[in-house]
Parts: sequence; structure tokens; C-alpha cells
Amino acid sequence: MGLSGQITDLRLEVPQPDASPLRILDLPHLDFEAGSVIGISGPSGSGKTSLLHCLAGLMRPTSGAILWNDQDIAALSATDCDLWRREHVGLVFQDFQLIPELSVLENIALPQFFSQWRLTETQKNSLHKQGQQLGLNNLYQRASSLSRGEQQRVAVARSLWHHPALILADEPTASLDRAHADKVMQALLEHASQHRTTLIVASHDPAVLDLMDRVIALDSGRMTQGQPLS
Amino acid sequence: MMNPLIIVKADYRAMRGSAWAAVLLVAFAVAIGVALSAQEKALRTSTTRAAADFDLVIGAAGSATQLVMTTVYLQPEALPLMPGEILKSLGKDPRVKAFAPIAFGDVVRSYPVIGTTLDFVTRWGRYDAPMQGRFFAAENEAVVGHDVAVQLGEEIIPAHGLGSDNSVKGATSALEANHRHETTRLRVVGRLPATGSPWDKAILVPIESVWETHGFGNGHSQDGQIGAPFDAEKVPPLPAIVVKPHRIADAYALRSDYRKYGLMALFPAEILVSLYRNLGDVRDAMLVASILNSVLILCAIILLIIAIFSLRRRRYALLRALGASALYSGLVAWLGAFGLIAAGCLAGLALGWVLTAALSLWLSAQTGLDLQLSPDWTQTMPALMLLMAGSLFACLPAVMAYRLSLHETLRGE
Repeated sequence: MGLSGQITDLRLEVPQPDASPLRILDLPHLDFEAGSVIGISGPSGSGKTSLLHCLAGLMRPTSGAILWNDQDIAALSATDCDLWRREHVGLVFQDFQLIPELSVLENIALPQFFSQWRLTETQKNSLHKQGQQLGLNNLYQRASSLSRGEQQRVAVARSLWHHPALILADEPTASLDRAHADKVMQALLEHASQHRTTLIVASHDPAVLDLMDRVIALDSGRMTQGQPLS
Repeated sequence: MMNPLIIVKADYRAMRGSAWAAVLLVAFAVAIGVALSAQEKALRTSTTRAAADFDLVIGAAGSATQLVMTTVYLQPEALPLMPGEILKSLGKDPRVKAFAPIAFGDVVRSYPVIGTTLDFVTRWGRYDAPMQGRFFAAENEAVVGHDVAVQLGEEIIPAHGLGSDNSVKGATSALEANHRHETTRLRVVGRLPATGSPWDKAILVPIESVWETHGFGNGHSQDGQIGAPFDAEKVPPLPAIVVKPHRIADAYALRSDYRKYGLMALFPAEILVSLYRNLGDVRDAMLVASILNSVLILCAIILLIIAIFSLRRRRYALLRALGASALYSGLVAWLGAFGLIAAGCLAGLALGWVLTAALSLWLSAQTGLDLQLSPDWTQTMPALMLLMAGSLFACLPAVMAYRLSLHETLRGE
């Protein structure tokens, strides 16, 4: 079951030398229903990535609360936040963020090595199954030898591997052609639907945003639109 | 149990050449320290062992170092001569257990031919018999040192030595061939046990043979006699005499008494102590240079590690973003840096020993000293200190990994 979230009085500011702080985000209130699929749109610099990073606990807001299932992650220590993220969050980055020297299999299961020495046979079988679903047939090849489309699919597979309750994807289709973009979105949506995972996708792509239950439009860190799509 | 090695290995793969360079730099720094320390120790041990049978050496006044270097270590230098009559007084001295005049100057196939007495050939009676054959019993007989490439039963012709002849031992140089004492024929009758000293590459003959060869008679009133007692009036001038006193007190008294009348008496240990002091000073200076070198290299490695960390910081941020604990990402960064330094230290120890062994082989060939290497913990201390310092410095990237701003780093800011 996905996480339900709530943002209250979220402000994110960056200090500027010899000037007043630069406002990045200013969101009085936002709700994220458990198991919903939510898009975040907006022009470059509107605060999409910053919002996703705040929602993932990768950055601490200047003020306000970010509640996931009533737990305020903005108030967690860095260590607790890392642990929370490992248990509940799957992240997809715009630039994939794979480790090129590792194999596809090691990249997908990377978070597993934070707590165990080697993968079990069951885990490997499960990885092969997941890889096949995403069209990744050779899990032992180096990530550096993959095409961009394959790399993004590996990044998606990594975010889904531990069945997180919340998936945060930052421009997951930005560098892909239409066919690959559709595959990636299909994988994310199928997973969200099957596991009732909360999926939040930041994107410029109208085709991606059309797949969302709701789109939050941002401009200069403020919400300009946030109604559920009919 | 967490597995940080999977990321450390990936980091090393990514670094490739720079990782090898870091390991090699540390290895060279450690190897120099190990080689210096081990070589100096081996040199001390072997020179002390080589001088063990030379309790007291008497020679004409001159350079004490030269007397020891020529007599004990057979470094070919012309020593000033002292009157042969001294053998008479030594023969009568109750403090003297035994004595042996030593005469140098000739060579056979570049091996020095040393004239002495049976007392010294048997190392004051320690050897009942040689390793092969028998001891010499006549003027025209010779025994060879353990490492002399001359067969028993072979007839050899000594040639006049020409100072520092650098010919390869065992080979007859053109100079040697032109300066043979053709009237002297020596039969090799025995081979001595190894002493680990330059004497293993010497040919020992009765001193009377050397005197006769150079036209000084045989030092006795009768022909054919060898060994003490000598006829003091017929003994030619001598370069050196080795004396075996009865007691330590006798040795000091003899040393004092024979430092008169243009003579010089000394314990080789005196010269060795001075040599070791100089060696120690050189070693200390080189060790300080080596340690400074290691520190500089360590600093270079740390700078390299920090530079590599800067390139890898997004990776560490990614690990944290994916839920790795600060301990995990810190451990990855620490292990990455420490692994390079540890590998360098281990490789340096191995390289140091290879270097020491090679140096010892070369020095042994040059000096005839048996430089036995004996590894001990003190020689690994510089490597251990470097490792400890490295383990501390390796915390730097670990702390940097812990303090990363995930948002900024992941966005490449």
C-alpha cells in the first residue's frame, strides 16, 4: 500500500550574498493520496526537482512539514531519513545515476548491498524476472555498455526492486524516444497499479502528464494548478 | 552484513591508472625504507661476523681503517710495513695465545693469495680439518676459501697483484698473465669451510711461500720449515699480524704495548664501531629522508584521493539517496583510500625485500661478505606507520562523504 502524504507551509529558500534569500518553494498545502499517480509540471527552474528532493528527504526545507503516513521526514535526522528512504522510497533520476562499472544486476539490486553481503538465489531469480519484464535480458553486462534507453530501464528497475510504497521519478523519459519513454512509463504505472504504490512524476512531457491522476503545476516554486484531472 | 566492497571495486575499476599510480608511489616509498634498514642491519651483522677471528691486529703506524679493511676484509691496498722482529717478541709474550703474520700482494685468477700460518688457517684451531682435502703442510701447497673456483689438486701460479684489479673472480686477466711468478708452483690441497667473509674468496698459502716468491727467503734458519717459531732476523718486513690473546685483559694490554715504536695495534671492533656510527648516521639521514619522502607521497596520495573523491562525490550521494547509511558511504570512501595505501605498503614491503636481496647479492659479489637478510618487525615499522597515518588520512574522504549535500551533489552543483 502506498504512502499518503501531506505538505504544510513548505518553504525552501537559498541564502544569497548581499541579497534577500532566493525562494525555491512556497507551498502552503498539498495532499498526496495513497496509491495515487501524481504529476508535477512546470518550466525549468520552477522547483520540480527541489520538490521531489524535499519529498524524498534529500534536502531539508527551510520551514514547514512533510508528512508521509503522518511521519514528518523534515524533522528526521540524516541517518533516520536515509533509513526511511531505503525502506519506503524508490527514486528515478533524470540522468539515470547508474554505476557504470557494475553489472545491470548489481545496479538494480544496489540497495540490497547496503545490508547484505551477496544476493540470494531467490533474489537473483526475482531480478531476472523483473529484468525480463523491462526488456533487460543480459543482467551480467556492464551498465556502461547499455544504450540510454536500457540505462533508464535499469534505473526504473532499481527503483522498483524493493517494492517501495512511494516512487519519485524526476523526468524519467526526458532523454528517451517515444517508444522507450512509453515502456518506462508503462513499467512505472503497472507497478504502481499492482502494488498501489504512490507514484509522483516530475515531467515536461504532456504525454506523460496525461497518464497521471492529478497534475500539480509549479511556477517559481508556487503551485498554479493542482486539481485532480477528470 | 553490508557489502561496501562492491562499490570499492567499482571505484578502483573507474580509477584504473590512477589507482595503480597511487599504489606504486606508496610501494616505492616503503621499499626504500625497508631496503635501507635491512641492508644496514645485514651489513653490520656480516662485517661483525667476518671480524670475529681478528681479536687484535698489529701493523705499522698509518691508517687504522686501511689496516682493518685490508686485513679483515681483504680490500687490496698497500699497507706500510713493520719490522719482522716483532714476531720474536710476540712469540715470547705470555699474554699471546697464538699469532699469525699476514702477507698480501699476489693473485691467482683474481683471487687474492694470502700468506699466513696454519694457526690462522684453522681459525685458531676451530677447524680440525678443512671441508675437503687437508691443510697445507709445505711451502708449495695451498688451501682455498670456500667460494674459490679452483679444483683440489690443481696447480696454480701466483701473479703479482696490481692494486685494485677489478677483474672477475675466477678469470685470469691479461695483467695477471703478464705478471706471473713463473718459478712458483702451488698445489691446491684443501678447501676451507665457509666463513661468510671475503676470506672465502681467497687462496691461503704458507707465509714462507709468499716470502720465498718475492725473494725474502723463508723466515727460518732451515729451508722447508713452515709456521712458528720464526727466525726473527730472517723474517722480512710485514704488513699485518693477527694476534689471539689469552684473555680480554691481555688483549687490552697488548693493544697498549704495541702502540709504540711506530706500530699500531687495534681491535677491528674499534674501527667497526666507528664505521657503524657513520653507517648509522648515514642510515638515520637516509631514513629521515625516506620518512619525509613517505610523508610527501602520503600527502600526494591524499590529494589524489580527495581529487578522486571530487569525481566520485555524485556516486556517494547516490548511495545515500538510495538509502545507504552514512556509515556505509563513509566506509566505502575510507576503504577505497585505505585499500590503496595498504596495497602500496604490502607491495612496498615485498619490493623492499626484493631490492634488499638484489643489493645484497651485488654487495656480496663486490666485498665477499655474506650479507644474510633477517627480516624483523623493525623493518616493517615505517610501513606500519605509513599505514596508520594512511588509515587516519583516509577518514577525510569518509567525512566528506558524510557531509555531502545530497540535493546539490545529485544535481551536479
